[in-house]
Amino acid sequence: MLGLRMNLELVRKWRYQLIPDHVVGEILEKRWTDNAIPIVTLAGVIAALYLSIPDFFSSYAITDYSRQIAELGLVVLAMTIVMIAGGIDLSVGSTFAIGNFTALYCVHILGMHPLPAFGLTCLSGILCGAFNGYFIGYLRLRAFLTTLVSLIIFRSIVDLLLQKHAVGIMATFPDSDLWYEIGEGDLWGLPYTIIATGMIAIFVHILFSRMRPGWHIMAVGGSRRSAHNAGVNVKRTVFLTYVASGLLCTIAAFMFASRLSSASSDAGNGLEIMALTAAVLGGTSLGGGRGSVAKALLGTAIVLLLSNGLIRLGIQGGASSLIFGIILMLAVLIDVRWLKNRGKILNKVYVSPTYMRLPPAPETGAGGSSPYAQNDKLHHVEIIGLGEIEGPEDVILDENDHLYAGTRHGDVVRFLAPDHKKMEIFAHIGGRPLGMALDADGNLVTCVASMGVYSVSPQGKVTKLTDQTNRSWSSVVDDSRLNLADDLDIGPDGKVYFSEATKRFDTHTWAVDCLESRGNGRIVCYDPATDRTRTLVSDLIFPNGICTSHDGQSILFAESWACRISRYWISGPSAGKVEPVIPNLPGYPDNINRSSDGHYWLALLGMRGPALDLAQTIPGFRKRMARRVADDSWLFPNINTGCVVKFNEQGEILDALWDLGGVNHPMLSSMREHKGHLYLGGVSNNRIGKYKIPDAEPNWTGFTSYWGRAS
Amino acid sequence: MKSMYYRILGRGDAAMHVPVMDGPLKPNNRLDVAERVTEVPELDNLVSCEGKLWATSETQLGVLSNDRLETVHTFSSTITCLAVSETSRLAIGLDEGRVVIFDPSSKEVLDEQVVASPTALLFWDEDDLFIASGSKEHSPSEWQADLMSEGRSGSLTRWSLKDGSAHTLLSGLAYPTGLVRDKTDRLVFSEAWKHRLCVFADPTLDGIGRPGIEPVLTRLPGYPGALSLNPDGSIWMAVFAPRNQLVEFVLTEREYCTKMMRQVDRSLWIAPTLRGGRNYHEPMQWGAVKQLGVLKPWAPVLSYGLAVRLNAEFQPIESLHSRADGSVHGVTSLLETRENDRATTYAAAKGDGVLVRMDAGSQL
Amino acid sequence: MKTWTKVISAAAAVLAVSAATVSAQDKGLPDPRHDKYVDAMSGKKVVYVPIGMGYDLSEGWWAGLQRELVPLGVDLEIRDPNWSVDAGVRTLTSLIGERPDLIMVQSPDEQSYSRVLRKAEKEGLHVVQIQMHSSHSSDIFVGADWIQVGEEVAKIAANHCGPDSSGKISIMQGVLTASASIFQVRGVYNILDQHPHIQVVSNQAADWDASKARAIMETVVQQHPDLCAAIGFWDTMDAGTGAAIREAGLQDDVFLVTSGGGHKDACDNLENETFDVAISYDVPRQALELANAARALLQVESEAGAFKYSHYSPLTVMTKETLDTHRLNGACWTKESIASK
Repeated sequence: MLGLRMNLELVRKWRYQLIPDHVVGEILEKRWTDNAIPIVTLAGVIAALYLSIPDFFSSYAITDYSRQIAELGLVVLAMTIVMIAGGIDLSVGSTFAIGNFTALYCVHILGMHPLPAFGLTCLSGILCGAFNGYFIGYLRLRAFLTTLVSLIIFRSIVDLLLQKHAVGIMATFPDSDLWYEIGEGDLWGLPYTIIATGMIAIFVHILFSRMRPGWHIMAVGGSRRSAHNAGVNVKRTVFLTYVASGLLCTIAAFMFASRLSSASSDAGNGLEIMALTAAVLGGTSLGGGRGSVAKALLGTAIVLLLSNGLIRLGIQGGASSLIFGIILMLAVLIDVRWLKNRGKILNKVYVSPTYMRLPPAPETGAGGSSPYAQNDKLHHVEIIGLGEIEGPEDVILDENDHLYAGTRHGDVVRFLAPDHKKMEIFAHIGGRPLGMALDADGNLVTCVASMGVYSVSPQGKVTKLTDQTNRSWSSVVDDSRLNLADDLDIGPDGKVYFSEATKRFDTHTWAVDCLESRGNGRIVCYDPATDRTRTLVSDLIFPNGICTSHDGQSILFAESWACRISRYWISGPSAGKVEPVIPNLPGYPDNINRSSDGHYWLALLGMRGPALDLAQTIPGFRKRMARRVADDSWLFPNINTGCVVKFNEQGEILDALWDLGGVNHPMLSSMREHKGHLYLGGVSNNRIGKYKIPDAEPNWTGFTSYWGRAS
Repeated sequence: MKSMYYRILGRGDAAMHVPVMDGPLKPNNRLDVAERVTEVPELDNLVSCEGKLWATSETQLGVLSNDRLETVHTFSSTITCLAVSETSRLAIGLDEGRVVIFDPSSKEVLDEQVVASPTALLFWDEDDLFIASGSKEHSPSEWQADLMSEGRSGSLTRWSLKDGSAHTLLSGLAYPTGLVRDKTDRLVFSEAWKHRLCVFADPTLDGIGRPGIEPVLTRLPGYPGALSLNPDGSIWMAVFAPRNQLVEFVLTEREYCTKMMRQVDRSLWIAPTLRGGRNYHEPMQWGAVKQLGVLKPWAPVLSYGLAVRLNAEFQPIESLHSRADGSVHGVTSLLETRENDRATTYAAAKGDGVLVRMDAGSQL
Repeated sequence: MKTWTKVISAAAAVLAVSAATVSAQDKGLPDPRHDKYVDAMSGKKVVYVPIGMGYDLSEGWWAGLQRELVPLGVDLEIRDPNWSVDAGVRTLTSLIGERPDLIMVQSPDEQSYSRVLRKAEKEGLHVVQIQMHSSHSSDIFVGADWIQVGEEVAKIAANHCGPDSSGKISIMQGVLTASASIFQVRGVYNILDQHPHIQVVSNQAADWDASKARAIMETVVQQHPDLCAAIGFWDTMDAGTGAAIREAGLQDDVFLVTSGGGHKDACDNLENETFDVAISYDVPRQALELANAARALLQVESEAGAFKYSHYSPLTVMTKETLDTHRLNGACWTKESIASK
């Protein structure tokens, strides 16, 4: 029975080591997953057509489809631009008809050269678009109704003009070869029209992804009000999207006119439904703010293949319209559901716990023989900056005894020596300053969550040291950007060693990483000499505190959720190796710093509880909890109570400092010894503690310990 | 099929919904601001007898005078419940599995009956005592184990003191913890693990045939305990622990739950408790992380203080709270007294071991 | 009886014996023409591209083609552009890639298909054009002679509107650029120009759409209550024209002349006097001619476009009074009646 249970646990352990559950969430987080549904649809359509119509994808047919994509693609692009800005343009078909007529009239009746004819055709589209844009953008009429009206108006204009000129257009054959070449010619097998559309598509793509007008359109579609507040001229932006739409439609119409010379009144009939279906199928949101050129082209391809396929399959008129209607409806449904539920799904699957078994926690009971035994040594600490400071994760003192701490507002604040009563903002960095260290020149080097590693000169000048490292090859998301740089220390050679606690969670959700307890973190080294950043150790379980050993040959680092301290050799015979120092702590270790007697201080930011320790061995339990239980009710590491311990190079616990009553300093994330006192920081505290260390070397400072002299 | 679908997706019946405290149950801090009369460890079982206020503390039965509990008698195990008859006889439930009839003047045990887990007592008349037993497997002090093992073995017994006969009227109950006879002579009991209040149709029945029960108040946001009838016909209901989404979830996770019960000390379980958050080894929830040294009152916690006044139709009309950051958690007993048209409510919080008193009339 | 059966069975026995001994010559000769014909037909792919399905003409031709060609083993396919010029061009373009043995196509207008049809011809594809041709003529054209149709309807209208009438005539065209409109209107004017008292008060295009025709006619009869005759270019569309006249209460005053395939609906409209005269170009016969054109082109081994000729359909003038006679000749058909023939 016991053997069986052991085996089950082994299976579970392996299952969670081998299958990376977290990848699902990371993939879903990518914006391109929006394209997943259209791509799958396209693949499905292609497969279905390939199987049911044998020669559907002959090389001849493919050239033909590309020619078709050229025209419809532009119209879909027109629709997409308007939709991204949160509107809709039902008049694309009628504008297309106007463009078609203008082109034919200019070339056939007026006998113009195709180039000026092209200019006039574009002008007609710009005018149509300006008509829509003026009413919708400036007069703020409803897009749907306005373009519905202009659909009818433009169409009637075309009908009236055709009554008069259709026969004339039909009866003349302009002797311009260029005119016919535009529609039918090709360059090395590529039709001119698809080349033109391709160039326009690339331009629009760059517009949306790299240029200000495109961002404005995105912003207006995402939220009109916010865009307005951000200083975007909403009215003009909306106006311009319709102008662009009109222009693109008439360019497409010009190609159409050149290809068919068809003066029939049905040019562009039903094009708005085709374009709308294509846009929505491609994943452009009806609500605005979401869409891209790739999506538009994907949708166009799907619609064109489908409509060709339906004709090829011999499906007759009414039925194919019905099928298109149904497809449009499905696409809208999926669009709405996807938008609504993507975040929800992401939330539910993002947290993906893995198996971890911790050894039984050491005793901490008061009065016991354990080195961790509770006491109330911290009960009477002196309090600095109560209520003035919010969240000093780490504290440090310079040679002039000024006390520095990072806050949750992104500041580094300074309490002035000697009494630390007066607080001033030393520097504003932004982000969330966490671990700190002083380099040989007296610069304050700090890890800033969600930003990177920064250096602040004694004059308060902020310099970025690094914000990225090498990307690891196995990661789905780009993990080169530093997400949650946590603590750092500086080696004797000036290299900055810092920990990135987790790549998957941010400053507000960092403790959720405990539910995963996967090796999401890493230790990174920044070399100021070469300005290069390299990852040294990865797959660490929330690496947190970092401290260069007294001999400068190794760094000690804490892994919070694994409740252990390890040593990484930076020089000497074992350079590059990791070895355990304290394998099993009763709580979650945070920052490590040197003590004056040649040992190390360690802050435990929270204490282990058996209920959570047990849950760590059942990943499925935590996973289901993350899915079904509201997040504020999740089982969590107890980070309300912590303590400070002192340990030596061998990892033996020498002392423990507690606040038993838990009033003054129940929560700790850092401590720093300076001239006989221990200064205490806590990541969510509103104070800094100052504890008088009995029998401490009264003149010892961190700076001299590291750099051997006063700055 | 459907239930499997629900189980996999956590929807429908398997969804972890905890009713919100709203309407008359809207949170306040009235228990915390009430006058703290005295602090006695595990104070419980407030009863009024011969003009005096009786209460228990662990194994001791005592009288409150000068805001102190003066011990009258010490029993062999923890006193779990207490009832008083017209003629001032006391019925006392003991954790070891006995109910005794006690004469306070002579301090003599008059009669006794074996009951697995006495949780509530009620004198219907001088000779008839109704006894609620929470569970067959667990004693009242092991109530968390009964909850976490989804106990459904509670029962309701009528003990006739005249002839000594005892009839089990109902069994298979999900931990009945309170008994009261309302103004219209109906027997009402609370069924804690089902978060509800039920009426037992006809208590004069001898348990023959199929006596029916009718739920009258369901979907409570906590586990209902002792009930007491007030002079005006309303009823005080002590809600001894809050429901918690995490606990409801753990209840569905049988593997985790059984391992937890086997391997983890009971005080450190993910289970409701009368007083939690005092030991850092206890499980903690995200919402209970202190921000700038402050525990938010709405933080999800495993203990709470809640007393609810129900009208004659058993609908809540007012409530007294001690929230996550409060200090009157684990209210197990309530008593309303009336002297010279002045009503006073006493609440015993067993979790925090405190007795609070407030002017009930002024609050209504 | 008995003797007869004996004689027959004896004869059968003799025949059976002799059959075993006769030489091959006695079984007759193989007909090389027959084999060639069968070979030419079976397994050939013929694609039918109307401007849209779901109206009488295209359904009638399709029914007739199926009846005639499918039994011969021809692989007959339909591609429905559903009244979209663009979809039609796309269909033809993709057909050039598919290279069927024969394309039978109806052009929505003169211009749109001409280039792609020329290309098809260059690629060596045989094409039959149906009813409305494109400006590029292909191997065979089967359909009405629109000049003649125009002249016929105009003659009838002009005869009706003698000098004593108002002389006002309206013309309801289909799609302006369709050959059925362009040439028919020419035919109409060929005649009307000879009648100076006749005045064309309206000449508009209803795009083959009955509701459009109805809307146009409503305004025409409002402006000209003394309208003498209305010329319509297609009976299905002119059901709308007629409805407008009927609504205006001018059913007895306005003389409506139209033309079409002679479908049952047209006969019904003659019967209920919506139409006064309907000229029929006889779709059942056209279907048969189409099938014959296909049979011919599948057999000849000539280049595509080597010979170009037209099969104009003979016209029948139908009125309410002469309906019964026409019925005997196959008018007033339905697609079911064509299929079952």
